Amino acid sequence: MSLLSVSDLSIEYATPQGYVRAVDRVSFDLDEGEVLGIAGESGCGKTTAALSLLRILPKSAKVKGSVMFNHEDVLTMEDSRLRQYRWKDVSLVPQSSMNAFDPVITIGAQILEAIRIHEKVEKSAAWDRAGDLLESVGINRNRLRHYPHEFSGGMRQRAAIAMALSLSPKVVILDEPTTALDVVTQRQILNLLRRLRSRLKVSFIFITHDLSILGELSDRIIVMYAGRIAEIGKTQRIVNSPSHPYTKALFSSVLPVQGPLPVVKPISGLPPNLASLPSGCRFHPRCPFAFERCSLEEPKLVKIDDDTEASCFLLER
Amino acid sequence: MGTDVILDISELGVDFSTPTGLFRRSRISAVDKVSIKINRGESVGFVGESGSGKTTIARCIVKLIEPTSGHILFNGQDIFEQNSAENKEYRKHVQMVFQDPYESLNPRSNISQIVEEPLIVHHISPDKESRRERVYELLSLVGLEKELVKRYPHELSGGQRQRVSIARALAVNPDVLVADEPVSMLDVSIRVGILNLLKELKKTLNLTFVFITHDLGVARYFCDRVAVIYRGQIMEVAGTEALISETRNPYTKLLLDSVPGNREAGEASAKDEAEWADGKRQFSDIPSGCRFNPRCPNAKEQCTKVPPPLEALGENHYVACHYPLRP
Amino acid sequence: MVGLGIIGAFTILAIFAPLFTPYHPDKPVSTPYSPPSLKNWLGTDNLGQDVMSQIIYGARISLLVGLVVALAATFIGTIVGVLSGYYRGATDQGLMRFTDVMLVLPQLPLMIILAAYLGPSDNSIIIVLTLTSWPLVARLIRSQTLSLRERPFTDASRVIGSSNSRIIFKVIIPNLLTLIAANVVLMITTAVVGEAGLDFIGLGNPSVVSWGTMLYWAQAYALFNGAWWWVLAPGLCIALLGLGAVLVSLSIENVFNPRLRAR
Repeated sequence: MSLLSVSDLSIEYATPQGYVRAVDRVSFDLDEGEVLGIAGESGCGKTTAALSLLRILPKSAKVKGSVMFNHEDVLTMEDSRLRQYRWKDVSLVPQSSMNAFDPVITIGAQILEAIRIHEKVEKSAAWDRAGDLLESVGINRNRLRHYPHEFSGGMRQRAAIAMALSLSPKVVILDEPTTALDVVTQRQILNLLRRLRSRLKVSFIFITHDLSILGELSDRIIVMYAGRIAEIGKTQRIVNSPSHPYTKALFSSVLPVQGPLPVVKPISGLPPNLASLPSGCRFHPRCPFAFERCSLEEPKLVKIDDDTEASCFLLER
Repeated sequence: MGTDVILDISELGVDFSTPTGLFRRSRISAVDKVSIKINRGESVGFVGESGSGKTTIARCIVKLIEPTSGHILFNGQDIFEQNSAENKEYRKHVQMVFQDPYESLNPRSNISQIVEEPLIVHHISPDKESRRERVYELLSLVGLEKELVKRYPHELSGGQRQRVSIARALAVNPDVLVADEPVSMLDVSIRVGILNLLKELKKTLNLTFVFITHDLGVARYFCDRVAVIYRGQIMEVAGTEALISETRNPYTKLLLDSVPGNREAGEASAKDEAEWADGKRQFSDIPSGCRFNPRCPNAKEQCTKVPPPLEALGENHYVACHYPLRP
Repeated sequence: MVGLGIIGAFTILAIFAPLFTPYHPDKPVSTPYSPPSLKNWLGTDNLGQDVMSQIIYGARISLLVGLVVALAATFIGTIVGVLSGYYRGATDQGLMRFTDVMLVLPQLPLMIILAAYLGPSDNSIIIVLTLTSWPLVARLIRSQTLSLRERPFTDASRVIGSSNSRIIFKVIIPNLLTLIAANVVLMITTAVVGEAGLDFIGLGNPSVVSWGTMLYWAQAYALFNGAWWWVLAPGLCIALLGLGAVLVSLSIENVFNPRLRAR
């Protein structure tokens, strides 16, 4: 039973050079209790796509396609329903949220605000709930009275996760939640997310540029490149045998700590400027396997097995 | 490898005092009696969590901070006892690449001005022509086209900016490059390119590297030797492969287990921050005895009383632990 | 752009004043207290002098005072702010104490004292306004300098071996330019208003024509005689100048910031 169903989502932004397509015909589903990872380099459209699920893109953004949450189209929701939907059904832990706390208000007050904006709750009841939330992310409740600067980076990230959980949403979108954290803190956050997921039956959409995290946390992975889906499917499948050359290249950029040291090759070139995309397959200028057809046509998503699809001509042979 | 010690850090200590109340200040020792010798031509990694003091050590090496105690000798000379001429000379031998590619380049200068600054400051290449030539040379050395000279930092990608940073550091032909988390703010897919570049440069220019990182995967890829630092103290120092396959210090093991992909081990050994989160203990409280004892799964009574000394447990493998793990 | 237009217009009027008006501001040309008419676009004052000409000639003094004060105060404030913020320690403490003292100096009593010594004149106005304006600039520049000196690119210059003066001139100040320029522009307005104020209470030189002195005379005579145009004209000009200054200061970022220059 799909909780969230995204269909042909396309998003265009206004830039000085004209409209640019940050997300191009992206489709995916999210089931209850599932962890979906979205991976890709900076600028591939993953954050844009995620923000559109909450309709918090700038007004100038043109969004096409449909985002169905439990049979309701989020993109055409009325404002009053939208306000309920945001945070109560789907919430967000934004990028750098550890730095997004208001430094002059206590953490408790900020969580309180998040709760009371959406629900009519007595202050003391809300305070209790905030305390519960903090404990669920491993922070002692008497820390509610502390200020953000008294928390470490990792703790602030947990507090941000607590805030996102404050109204018991069905889906939480996490945008690069561990990017600025060191490896031990990252490990703690990943453990926390795993625990929360099994306890709360919440679905996560986890956005990152670090595939190794998704390998251990997510059920399914979407790999995005220049606004399009390069590969989508079950994590096991993608980790064990990636199909798309870009996915392969991303995996080969991971530097393992244990096991044999593979020959690590960087992906040559840079991600394309969305205002002037290459012809045909967007990845072809950087692809070691590109052949003639790649510069002429854009490949469509091709089924590799029951759950996996990738868009590459190599797979159509 | 001969024992040609280029940097000798001995008993380095850096204390910071921060206000903890209206009238009180507390002293935190960010770096506590760190000693390590770095040989010419090797790349030594300093690995630890944020707040471990590794960046503070790096900043001491490049003289951005003065230590509270201890010495750093460069080719035998104490760098904190230099006069201004010697200080300037030192800058030609030891340079730094910073962590944040977005902040380490002056946004008001173009690439050419950024890369030629060291040339001007040290009067290398006397005239504009030869400076320009040298800038082109440096840019091509780091894999950038010379057309970028007129551009400004904001027009470049993170990876490109970091390459500019490297080019700038190389302008003076240094012997030692201190790299402070040079790839941690870059996308995973870009990191390898930069690391490969640094490896190349190390070989062709015979550079010595002091490489700061919190990512053991990166340290393994790049460094010959790794020193693991926790709260200002060295926990373990060994050749990279030995550190990973024959880990002796429980903290090192924690770092290794925390790497994504090591799920089972990660869940088992990562103790939650919950103890620190109780609000009663301040992050600045330094435990007595071994600094890692509150989080260590093996901690015994001695660990809370006596700080363990750094001792050799094998060839070139030093560990500070009362109960080192069996390899 | 509009802002520049406004300021530019005033400047041109001021510099080329004689070209724009047939009347000399000091000579009576028509009936006193005549309202705006085709002959006198802005009417006349109590002596029959043309208000429009007074505005145009008066612009000279007002703008001049405004510009000089703005430049001088910003210059002094920047030097103090940068030195204080960059070197910190004893230098900072000393300079900031001094600045604080200057900050609390009250304009009016100072002006009165100076007027007593030097006689009411525009020079004393310039001196007083500058003295009372630079401390604020110093504080502003100091804050910005403090934050700039901690940024990694400043560390980078230090590690390269740049001397302090090189860092100040090549790193700190270029990143302060926007702030400095915006400050100068905005200060023109405050200075002009300050000048008008001081003139208004009679501390300026009443025999010189400036917007401020116009108001000085107008306040004595215009209201009883219903000559609203006499009061409105200089007041409106000061307001317009202020608007122009704000608009320019808003677009200054576009000039100095390489990131926005490209657009």
